[in-house]
Amino acid sequence: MSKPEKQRRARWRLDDLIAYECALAKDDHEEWAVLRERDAAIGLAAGVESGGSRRWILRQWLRKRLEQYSSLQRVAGSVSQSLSVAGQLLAGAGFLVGLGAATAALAYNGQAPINVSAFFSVFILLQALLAVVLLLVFFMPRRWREFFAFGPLFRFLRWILEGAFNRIQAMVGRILTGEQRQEAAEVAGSARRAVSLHGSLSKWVAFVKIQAAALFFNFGALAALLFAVVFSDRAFGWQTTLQVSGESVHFLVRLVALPWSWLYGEGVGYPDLSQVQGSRIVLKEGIQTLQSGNLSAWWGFLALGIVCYGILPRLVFYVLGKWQVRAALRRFDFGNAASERLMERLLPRSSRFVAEEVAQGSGPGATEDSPPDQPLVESGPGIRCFCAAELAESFDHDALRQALGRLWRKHEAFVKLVFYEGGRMDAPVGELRENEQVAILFESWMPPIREHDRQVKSLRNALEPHVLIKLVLLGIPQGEDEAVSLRPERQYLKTWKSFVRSIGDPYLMLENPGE
Amino acid sequence: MKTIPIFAIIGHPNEGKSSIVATLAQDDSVAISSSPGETVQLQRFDLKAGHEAVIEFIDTPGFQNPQTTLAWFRKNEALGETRVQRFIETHRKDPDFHHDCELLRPLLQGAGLLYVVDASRPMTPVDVAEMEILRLTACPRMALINPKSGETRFLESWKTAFRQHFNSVRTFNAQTARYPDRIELLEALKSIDQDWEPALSRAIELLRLDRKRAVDRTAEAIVDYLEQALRCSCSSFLDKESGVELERRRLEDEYRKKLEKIERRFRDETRDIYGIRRVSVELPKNSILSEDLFSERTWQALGLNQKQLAIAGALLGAGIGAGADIAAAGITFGVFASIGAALGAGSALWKGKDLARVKISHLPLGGLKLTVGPNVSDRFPFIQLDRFLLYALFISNWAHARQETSVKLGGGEVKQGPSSAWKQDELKRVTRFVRAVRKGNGEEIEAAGRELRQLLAGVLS
Repeated sequence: MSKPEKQRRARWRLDDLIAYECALAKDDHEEWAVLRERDAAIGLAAGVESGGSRRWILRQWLRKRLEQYSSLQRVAGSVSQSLSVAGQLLAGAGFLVGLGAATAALAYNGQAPINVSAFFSVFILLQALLAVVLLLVFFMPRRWREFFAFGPLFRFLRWILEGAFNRIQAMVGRILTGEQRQEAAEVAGSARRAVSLHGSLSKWVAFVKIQAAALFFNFGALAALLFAVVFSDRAFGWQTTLQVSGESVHFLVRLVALPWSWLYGEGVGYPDLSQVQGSRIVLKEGIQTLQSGNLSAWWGFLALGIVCYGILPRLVFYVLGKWQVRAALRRFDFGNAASERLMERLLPRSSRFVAEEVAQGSGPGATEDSPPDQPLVESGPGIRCFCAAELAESFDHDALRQALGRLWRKHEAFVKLVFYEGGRMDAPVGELRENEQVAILFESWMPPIREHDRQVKSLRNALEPHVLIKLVLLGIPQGEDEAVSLRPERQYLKTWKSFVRSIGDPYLMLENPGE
Repeated sequence: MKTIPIFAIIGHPNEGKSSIVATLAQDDSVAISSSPGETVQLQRFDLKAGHEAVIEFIDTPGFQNPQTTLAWFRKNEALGETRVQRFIETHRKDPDFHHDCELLRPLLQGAGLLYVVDASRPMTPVDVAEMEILRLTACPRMALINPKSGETRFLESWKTAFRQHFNSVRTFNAQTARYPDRIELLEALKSIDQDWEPALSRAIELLRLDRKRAVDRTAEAIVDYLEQALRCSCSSFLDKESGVELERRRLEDEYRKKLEKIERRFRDETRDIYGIRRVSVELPKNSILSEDLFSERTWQALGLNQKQLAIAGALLGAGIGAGADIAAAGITFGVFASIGAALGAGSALWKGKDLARVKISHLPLGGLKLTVGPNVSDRFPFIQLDRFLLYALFISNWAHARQETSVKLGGGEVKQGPSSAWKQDELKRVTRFVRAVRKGNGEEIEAAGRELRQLLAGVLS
């Protein structure tokens, strides 16, 4: 395998992704300048500039960060461990439930034998049916698979959670201060972002844990059955009100026992016809007339049924789930906003953020040690920049394009301004060219309102979910000539950052956060 | 149903609507925050004169969908006067439009509109949409410029737009507005709708009366607490002389604490008079009122200047001499009074800022009596009076929107207290009261107190 190919396939484990998210969350509250200095010093700029694999670069970054910052490893470790402990608790609970349920089903007081039909229905038939359904799901295309495997459960949970959340929000909204409400919205946004970004992975992780719990449920049921058979005298029989002959039941039993009949045949792995007929319970006749041998012939069939229809399918699903977790990790898209920001930080100071400072040289944040302006790129994908038609009226379009071009180190010809009216974006978006970037402009001197929220969401709906949207804030025009400023006003910067977080779109980023 | 004028304060989020309401309604229970979105429901605040509500101000959430709302208003032009009502009915169940419905709701009650903007930023299409919505409602309306910074670059463009959309435009800084500014704004409100003129005139009249009552109560409080400060003393008994020094220090400390308590009680009462109950009024760090009563800076900055002090000392001394003249049935032709005045003027000039004189008396049955206070310095009454007056002025001009300190009293050597500007006549009124208190004559205290109250009410008005 060639080196680029190897880099492209850089393997991420679940623990790595957890550590990566922890590292990004920690950096979220740091100053941009500090982060840029720190990350640029890691020495991955060459990889970024040569267009190296993002998976590999970010994996290297994570490795370095974990080396540099040991407490990060502890935090990530504790999250991973919590997941693992949750799985163990689920498995333990599954075992106990299985043990308890089977013990209850095997209760025998010498009056009436244990009803094989009831035990079989709950511990074998039901599980076998579930296994068949799940197996079918695995043969479906991925989208359908996730829809059927999790759809109903997720929709129900979402309905419950959304209802509860809205009620709580409405109730506490009256007693919370504006700042607290904003913080709550940010938390909800973070949750939405996490679901959107890691939803598929989390579903499969949950699937694996549930299969482990189900596996241990069967172990518990099997243990209870074997314990009851070995250490006590149990009688098994079958009964029905319907006019069913012993032959028919025997036929069904033989059918069910097919998977193991080659190993444990009739009379061992499942009862023969005479044993089936001899273990039929007719309540008015009592059990005194029934032979003990016939009454004990069923336990092997039940135990092997649990192994075959309970334990083995769960083992298979557990392995399939693990495989899906790995697939979800392989599919994980590092083109999201947080990773994009990180990639920018890995570049040395000659990045476009320095260009921004040069362009805004007269502004308060300009630094004397800024390197000279670099030539603007005149090739590559362009940037489509959406701007409300009403807002665009206040600016000279050429000046705006030039300023935006300087921000992205692109020639102004590569910046396309698209105007929209009434907050509707469907029509203006149209087809994006390959690798064309998308940005949306707002005034930074006004706090974000619902209309902004709807405009961003409308743009998202008109685009593919994984297309990165860059939110660009305009500063108050500077000087007598009212020059376009891309230095956002400090007054509302915190509010705009909070706004972006509260939307919870992992592919939305504040392009000029003003640090 | 209320018949008083109602005004809804409307605008974009975080333009200072709640601050304006707090200052105009003189109510510090209005929730104010530097971050947007603090107000989510309509909140009504009455401006009261005494116990009577004279004007109602409604704090509203900021516009959240101005352009969509304007588009709806334009599309439904045919609805005419029912447009606001229909808009609310149509959107009331949509959580996205909750704020917009809330802020338009007062218009159904016939409220006047005060549209608040921070004119230190450029105008945007969103602002234009908001102004246009308000114009389409056809309600009486005024634009209020609440400048958050000193930037004036955009002021003209704002004013031009306001002229097109509003009946009247005023600048009103909620953070620094004093009592006269508030009255001036209320007067200006008359101009946006003639129908409100009688009600607003009556409201302003009642407010003025209420203000006068508050000033009189404050003057009364100052006189009461000044009397307490002038009388303040501490004493204790000792068996032997060995512990005198220690006891003296303890008594001085107790005396200082007693004076502090008097000031604290005065400040509480003053805040109560002006209805500042919920927010903590913190004096700026460099304020002279934050200094200790007996600190060097307080005695440098407050009280009388040298010339005034000589006059005051003479007035106080003359009082003592006059007592001797009266005792001699006037035969001395005021000789004692003249000698007393000369001595008083001299002593006032050199007497330092002693905490208070310590008096040690031997008791007939053995033991000692130690007394600290009252302070006999001629400067002390004026310094104490200045502290009371400065605090009362600070509180009486407190803008209820100002929830953090922003008023700074200057420092330096220059006398900053109101008493430093007083002429002989005013000084005479104060010294007469001081003399009466020192003498302990109830009738004289009452008469001199009445005169002093009149003087103080004039300063506070």
